[in-house]
Amino acid sequence: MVTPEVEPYIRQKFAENAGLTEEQLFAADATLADVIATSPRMTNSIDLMEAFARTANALRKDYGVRVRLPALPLDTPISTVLKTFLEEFERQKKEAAA
Amino acid sequence: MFFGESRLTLPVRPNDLDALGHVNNAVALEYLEAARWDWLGRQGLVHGDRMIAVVARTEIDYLAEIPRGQVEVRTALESPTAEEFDEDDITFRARFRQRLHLPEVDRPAVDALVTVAFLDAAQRCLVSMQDFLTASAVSR
Repeated sequence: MVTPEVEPYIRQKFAENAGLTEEQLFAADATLADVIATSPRMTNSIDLMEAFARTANALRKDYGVRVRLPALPLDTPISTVLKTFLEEFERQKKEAAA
Repeated sequence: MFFGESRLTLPVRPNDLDALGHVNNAVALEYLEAARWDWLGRQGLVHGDRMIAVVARTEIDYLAEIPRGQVEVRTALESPTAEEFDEDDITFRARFRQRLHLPEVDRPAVDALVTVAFLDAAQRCLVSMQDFLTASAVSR
């Protein structure tokens, strides 16, 4: 059972942390390399990881679920990252409830 | 965590000077690194072999000449702030504001923002600041 409000929450938080609009991120299905190149807050993949970490930290505080993303190549589209984020969220939520 | 400013006084060595008789720009980076090691020591942190801190970015302004004598390096953790830092969070980078001052001079001679990331040297992958702190803490 997917928590329906989590997807827009992750989109919004990640866009905030990247300093980009959701449209800039998701309309063209940017790759992670595109995100680093476009974001005014990112210089390298460490800044990208920090943006993911801040999104995960917000999720933990607001939903009580701790998510850690696996390492992803820079040519990964943002839609795949979002899918991975959601899968990890649901998996961790189930584990926490078990 | 210590979020205050640390101060380290270093002597300017003759070989730190370039042909103009002032500290070479690359040597200023060495002073900053020495001050970060000092900052780690004041935290009770000892750099291990496995979890290491690496510089990921340096933004630096050279504002005044540094002649022979002494220089004071002021170092403060700018990000995460005390309010932002949470041991249960994940943070992949730390940013240090570092300034070099001549004795008795308020205006810095060098102003730098240094971004540091944390690596597992064996796995060659990023680790969080929290993992680094846990691995490096010996007397906190």
